[in-house]
Amino acid sequence: MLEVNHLKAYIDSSNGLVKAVDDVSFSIKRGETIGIVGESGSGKSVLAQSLMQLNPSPPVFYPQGEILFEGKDLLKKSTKELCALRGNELAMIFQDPLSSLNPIFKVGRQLIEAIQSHKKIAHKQAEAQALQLLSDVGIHQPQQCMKSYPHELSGGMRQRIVIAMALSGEPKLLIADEPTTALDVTIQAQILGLLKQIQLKYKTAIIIITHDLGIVAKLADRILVMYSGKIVEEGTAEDIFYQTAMPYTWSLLRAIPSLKLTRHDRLMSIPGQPPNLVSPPAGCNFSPRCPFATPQCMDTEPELTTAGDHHKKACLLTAQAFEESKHRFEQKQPEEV
Amino acid sequence: MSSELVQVKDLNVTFTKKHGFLKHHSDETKAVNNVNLSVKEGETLGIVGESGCGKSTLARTLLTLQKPTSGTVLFKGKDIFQYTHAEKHKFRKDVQMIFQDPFSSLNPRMSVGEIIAAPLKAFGYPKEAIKKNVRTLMDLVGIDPKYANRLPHEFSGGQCQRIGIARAIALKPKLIVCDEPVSALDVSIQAQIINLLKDLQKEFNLTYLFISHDLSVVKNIADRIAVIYLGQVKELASNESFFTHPSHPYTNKLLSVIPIPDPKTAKTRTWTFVKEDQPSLITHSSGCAFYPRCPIAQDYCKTHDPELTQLAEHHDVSCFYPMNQET
Ligand SMILES: Nc1ncnc2c1ncn2[C@@H]1O[C@H](COP(=O)(O)OP(=O)(O)OP(=O)(O)O)[C@@H](O)[C@H]1O
Ligand SMILES: Nc1ncnc2c1ncn2[C@@H]1O[C@H](COP(=O)(O)OP(=O)(O)O)[C@@H](O)[C@H]1O
Ligand code: SF4
Ligand code: SF4
Ligand SMILES: [Mg+2]
Ligand SMILES: [Mg+2]
Repeated sequence: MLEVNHLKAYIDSSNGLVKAVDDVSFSIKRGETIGIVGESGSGKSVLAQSLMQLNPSPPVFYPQGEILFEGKDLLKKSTKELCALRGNELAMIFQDPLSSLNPIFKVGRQLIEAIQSHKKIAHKQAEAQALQLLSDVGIHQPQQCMKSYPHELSGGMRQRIVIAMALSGEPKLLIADEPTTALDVTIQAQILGLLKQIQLKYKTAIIIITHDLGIVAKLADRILVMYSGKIVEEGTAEDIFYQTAMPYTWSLLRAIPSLKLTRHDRLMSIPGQPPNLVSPPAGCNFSPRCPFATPQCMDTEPELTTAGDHHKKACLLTAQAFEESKHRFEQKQPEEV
Repeated sequence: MSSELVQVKDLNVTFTKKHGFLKHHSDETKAVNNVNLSVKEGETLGIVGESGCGKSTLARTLLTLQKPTSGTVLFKGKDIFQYTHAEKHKFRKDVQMIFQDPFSSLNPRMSVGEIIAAPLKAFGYPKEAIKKNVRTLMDLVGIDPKYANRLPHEFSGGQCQRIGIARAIALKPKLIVCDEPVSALDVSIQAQIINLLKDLQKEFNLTYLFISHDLSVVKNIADRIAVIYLGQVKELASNESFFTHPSHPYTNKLLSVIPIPDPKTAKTRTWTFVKEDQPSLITHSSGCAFYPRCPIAQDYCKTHDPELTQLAEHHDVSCFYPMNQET
């Protein structure tokens, strides 16, 4: 349904050229869920907004690649065609629910307007649909909710409303950019459950973006791990968790605070800072932070290569060398990396 | 008794919001509802609860930033709301805070060196000492002192949080109140900050009040844990007892929603499809506050309000039908 080929999205900024998305390819089928995982600044949001063609341009431009949605390249569509697609076939949920709602209008009005922008239907009908959507996303008293202003609702309710709006056009593809990062764990669980429910009901394809691999363990059929604008590992959730093929994914997995650890254990962190996309390090972009980097990593950039059935990794280490490095590393623990 | 740095007694903080025609109606929000807690010197007390349950209000009250409606807060045995001028001055040195949002808690127009120096300046440290201190502090939190002249926006979220920590420890405080210090950070960076906080605690014998909505984070840092629901302490236990015998149904609910970073186990768990809105602090009936959401509630709970009572050693719970005790 959606196929992204060799996409690059660069940004002209005052600090120089930001290679926010650098040669990314993937595809998603109907009813499938893809998780895109990476630290802040790895280019996830720019990628998501490229798919919706929502990046301000300039400064963002696309020097290469194509985004095929049902066979047609979104990069070649006119603004008018894109507007028609967005909200109908394609919909997006942003990290901060407040920013996607207008603070001065009541929820009902915003939702009804969203519905009427997709379909030419009477106000009464749109209102009935709005109520249905609100109850679909688990809001108890939809009538009352319609009459509220966004600031009168809790974070979780606001995010549900944003999801309701995104669903109003019955999209084929829903892109959720950190939909739960601003929320607490109980509400997070509800929102993730809600996304699953929607998918089962409408056969929606979902792309969910997060910095926490734990969140997509259950939801995603396939996971793309992004670092420094590139995909560094790609596979099923099982591949990524049980057959981890490269050091960055491995480090991300170990950083998740686990209930298995006690307070006497030292948490594993990834040393250093998330990637800088203006002047990325030479060679493998992860090399300055990689516990297994070899001298070769400083000047050779790894390509995304096969690591198994539908499983890919971008790392210069052979599978055996990676196993050995991990083994050696574990021997000299538990001191922090 | 002397080891108890902070004692919170029967603390209530109620916000009243007037609304309606001529403001005839008023809603009372019991953000802190009859809380009794103590924090021992050198320990970390973790405070856990959902958004809006009153965690920050409690923290602000301990910092005298919020006046209690009733009840007392003792710091080293003395009521912080009855302090003399000199005592207030000392208190401001002894108690510091670290905030959730690393960016907005730092003044964007001050260099990070100035930010860290500010509390030292306010307490009249000589110029040379300040300079030396700032360098040592930056080193301690892992920011290269040569960046002292840079502005906060030139640093990442994790680095800004380190700068906030350097500022908080500048005056060698006794107690640091950490309000969701890692919630806004990437998982990869959360661990760095938690490790740093633990190291500093050991080195300077710091006491932490550590607020979070994430039990897996709290497990890694707290000696004791208090679970707050709608302004009330529902469970209070040592870290070990808390996780081996989680007893309040709400605690169990919080534990059940932590994402499991393991596809096989995660996929055996049912989805949270529940239709439930945020609980409200306003509509409060006579029974147990958790009654409307409690999976094991009995009729009795509807009309009776449980008190926090001791269940086992180092383990208090406020529930008539505690769970998991003999596991
Ligand atoms: N100054 C105020 N006036 C009125 N109500 C307030 C005020 N400060 C807090 N409240 C209310 O008190 C309750 C508790 O708020 P508090 O900020 O302590 O929650 P919290 O547990 O820290 O939540 P979060 O996890 O979202 O930070 C909320 O219902 C909030 O709306
Ligand atoms: N409009 C913009 N101007 C300049 N730089 C930008 C702009 N938008 C994003 N960037 C940069 O692009 C990089 C990737 O950003 P983003 O996709 O938001 O990361 P993520 O979502 O993974 O946290 C970052 O270095 C960010 O600073
Ligand atoms: S290529 Fe080298 S630096 Fe990059 S992830 Fe693999 S081992 Fe680490
Ligand atoms: S007292 Fe009753 S309603 Fe309250 S938590 Fe316990 S079982 Fe549930
Ligand atoms: Mg982002
Ligand atoms: Mg708070």
